[in-house]
Amino acid sequence: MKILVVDDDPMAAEMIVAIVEDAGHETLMAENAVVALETIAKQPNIDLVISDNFMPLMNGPELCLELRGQNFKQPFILLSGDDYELSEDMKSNLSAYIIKDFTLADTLIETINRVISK
Amino acid sequence: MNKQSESLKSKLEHLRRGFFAELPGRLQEIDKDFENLKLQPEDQGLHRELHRKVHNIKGTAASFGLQSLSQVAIQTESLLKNYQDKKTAPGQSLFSSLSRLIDELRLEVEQATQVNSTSEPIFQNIDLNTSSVQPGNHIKGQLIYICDDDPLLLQNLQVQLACFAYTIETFMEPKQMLEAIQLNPPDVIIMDIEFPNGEQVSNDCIGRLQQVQGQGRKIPIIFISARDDFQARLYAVQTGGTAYFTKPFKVMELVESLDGILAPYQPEPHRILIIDDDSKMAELHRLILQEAGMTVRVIHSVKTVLEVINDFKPDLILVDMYMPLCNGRELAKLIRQVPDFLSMPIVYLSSETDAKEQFSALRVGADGFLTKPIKPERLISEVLLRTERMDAIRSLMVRDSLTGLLNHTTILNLLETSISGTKRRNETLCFAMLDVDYFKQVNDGHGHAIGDQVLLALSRILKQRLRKSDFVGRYGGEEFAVILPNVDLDRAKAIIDELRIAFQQVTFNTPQGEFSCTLSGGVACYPEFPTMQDLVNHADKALYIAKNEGRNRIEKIHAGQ
Repeated sequence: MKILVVDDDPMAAEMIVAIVEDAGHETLMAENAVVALETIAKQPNIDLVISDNFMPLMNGPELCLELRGQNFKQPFILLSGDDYELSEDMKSNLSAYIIKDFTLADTLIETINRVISK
Repeated sequence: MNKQSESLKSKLEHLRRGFFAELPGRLQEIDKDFENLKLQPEDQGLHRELHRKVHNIKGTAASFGLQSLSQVAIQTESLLKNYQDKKTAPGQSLFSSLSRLIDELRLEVEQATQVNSTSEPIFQNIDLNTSSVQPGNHIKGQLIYICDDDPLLLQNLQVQLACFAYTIETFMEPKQMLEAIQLNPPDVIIMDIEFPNGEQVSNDCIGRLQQVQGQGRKIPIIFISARDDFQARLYAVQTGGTAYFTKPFKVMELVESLDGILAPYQPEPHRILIIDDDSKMAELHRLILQEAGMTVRVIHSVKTVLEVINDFKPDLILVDMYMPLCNGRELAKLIRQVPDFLSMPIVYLSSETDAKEQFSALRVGADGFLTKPIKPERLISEVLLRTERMDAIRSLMVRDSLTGLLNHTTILNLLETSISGTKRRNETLCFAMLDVDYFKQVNDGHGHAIGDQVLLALSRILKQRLRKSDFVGRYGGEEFAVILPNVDLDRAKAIIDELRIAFQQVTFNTPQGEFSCTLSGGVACYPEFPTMQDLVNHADKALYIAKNEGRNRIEKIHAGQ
């Protein structure tokens, strides 16, 4: 699968890419939401988006909202270091929401498998 | 299923090292941003940048398992977030708090980069903490270094203490141990106060022993010695020893001392649910309570309150009196309708100052009434007062007084609730019944005091070797019950078998000599047995089979046996 990883922290992005590629997927990276939107416009067959929460310009949930507004139907997984309060509307847009901790590697793969099979 | 491949592990390890290399640079940038912010406190952009940088460190540190660094970053971020919402320029107090936190961050970064440049990759340990339980590996034991010139003693201690899930390393000379401490500091040191050349272990050696990477955090030392004289004991006190045992000593007493020092059970932070439609107020209160070490969840609307309570399991609910949809009084009544939540502490927060209104609110089963605006210290103490009281009451109601394990009723109730949770999440759960073999003979032959010691030793093993998510109860006189969520039958049997082996290796001392005990056990699995009663009956049946088959064994059971 082709997965887009959106994160402004290059270290975090690399980590997610390593985890996702190890599970056999292809990845693309975007360092903020604007680049992410451009990438999705240019590459039509992105299967899933994994995004960080807090980023300059536009944060994760806002990116998701924008994508849904553009009729992007693929799964969107939000990653955060926070126990961020999300509104009900927001939750309905997201496919899943993961808090970053040391179990990230396993949790991320499990979640990807889960949202894909829906 | 989710085993990381070796190449991923090494890649992550590589990234982790890269993170450490980057950390000092990141901190420099944070320093710079902070200095700029102090010059232009109104600059929202600067504020956001600083916030984002701290946020990133928090997330990545957490992903790499760097708990304490992540914690400091969390605190720093909270502080920044709070002022960001206010939209007014931050003042002196913010800057001094921030300055303090950034200094802490720097210390953490220094520590992290020092310690981790030489020690074992962190990811090997992380497997032990995931929910995929592996027999023999599912608990990370606390690290103890033992130094003594008697190899037999070392061997004996190593075997005995390993039963209780401590990780032991032994040394015959202080010098060797000192080197090991530089690389990988333990949680406790046990050492003999005299060594073969007759000299007492020098102060200098002890001092060096107790330094841990810059923070001056001392490792507790337990001294063991053949000497019992005043001089020796004084020496131990002067060199900062935490405990002193004379040889020959009872291992169980040493274990108790270790318990006291290592405190394996940090009390779970209190969980507070705040229900307030005023999000700024709610955030402020959340911040205050989090600073006091509590875990807080905020909801703004009452619609989902029962689900949230079921999910979050708060120890106390803080409710605003007047909210859309239903007021605080009605909410309390609604919550209290559910039998499980009859004793849930509910405290009102309101600007209501009318005494009559307050009384009428209290009459519907609230536990307190706090008026807004409330001083932070007052909020914290009112909440703590009630949660601690509930803790004490709950303990009395749910725990067995000898072992501190859950009592018969509670463990069965928990089994029921665990089954519902398991069903909802589509997982499996196992239930085990354990029984000490020939316990009656122990009581008859050695007396009840010794019998109690046996039960206590088993309780300790159960508590220390099982995960936080497992539940352990004293089911009857010498019967124990264990609920193991999220494991399958074979794994559960393997885990319990380990416990059996550990228990078998404990030796108990009596005037008549030493003895040890064994246990038998039976394990049954949900959803193969779909109800609480089914599980209990069949685990019991399996236990019976174990006894019949010769004892000192664990039997698993399937439907149709």
